[in-house]
Amino acid sequence: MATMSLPKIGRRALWFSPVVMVAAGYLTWLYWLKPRNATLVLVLGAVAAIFVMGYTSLIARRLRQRLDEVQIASHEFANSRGWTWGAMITVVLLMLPPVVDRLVDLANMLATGSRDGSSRVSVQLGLAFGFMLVVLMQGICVCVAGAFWWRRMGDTRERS
Amino acid sequence: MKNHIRVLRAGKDWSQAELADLVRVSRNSINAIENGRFDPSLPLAFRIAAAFGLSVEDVFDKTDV
Repeated sequence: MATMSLPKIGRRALWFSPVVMVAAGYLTWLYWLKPRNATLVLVLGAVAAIFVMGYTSLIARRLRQRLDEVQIASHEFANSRGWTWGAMITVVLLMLPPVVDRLVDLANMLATGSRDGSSRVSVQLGLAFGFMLVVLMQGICVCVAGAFWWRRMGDTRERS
Repeated sequence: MKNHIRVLRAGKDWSQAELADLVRVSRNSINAIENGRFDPSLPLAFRIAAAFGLSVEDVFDKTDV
């Protein structure tokens, strides 16, 4: 396993700090702004989301420039397999009644305060949870596929 | 592709990390190449061979190709 030096961790934390600051700032302002101006909340949400997506892809591009060819091959393997496996696992999960029930209950609880009540907001939340589940499963599967790749590349302990 | 990196490295008394620094890749990448699990690109193969002061044919076994 590769180790990272402290200055390197610090530099990476510094790179990611704008994302955390924007997300934290938006969430903090949300509570104050929501009762006053719903349109502004929507606009700021869109701006924050576009910034986070754009900035993270910029960081990803910069990090990729520093990778060597074996690491790039590992990332390509992990991404291609992870995205497919993640989507497939989500489909399987959404076919399981207990999982669907929990997601519906959660959406209803957050939207109406009751597990049995349903509204337009609960449907929107349900869609958002479905999307989050896909992204989460794909993220987990990318990590698993990456670990699988390095395992296949052989024992990573050094032999002299 | 088979190679003689481990033997050559032992001859020079280099660790995988030292060779990795010389050819500007990660130690895990050297490990994968050394075990024959990953075939390096031509530029990387030349860099590895140059680090040992040898030709590519002396480091990598072409009977496997």
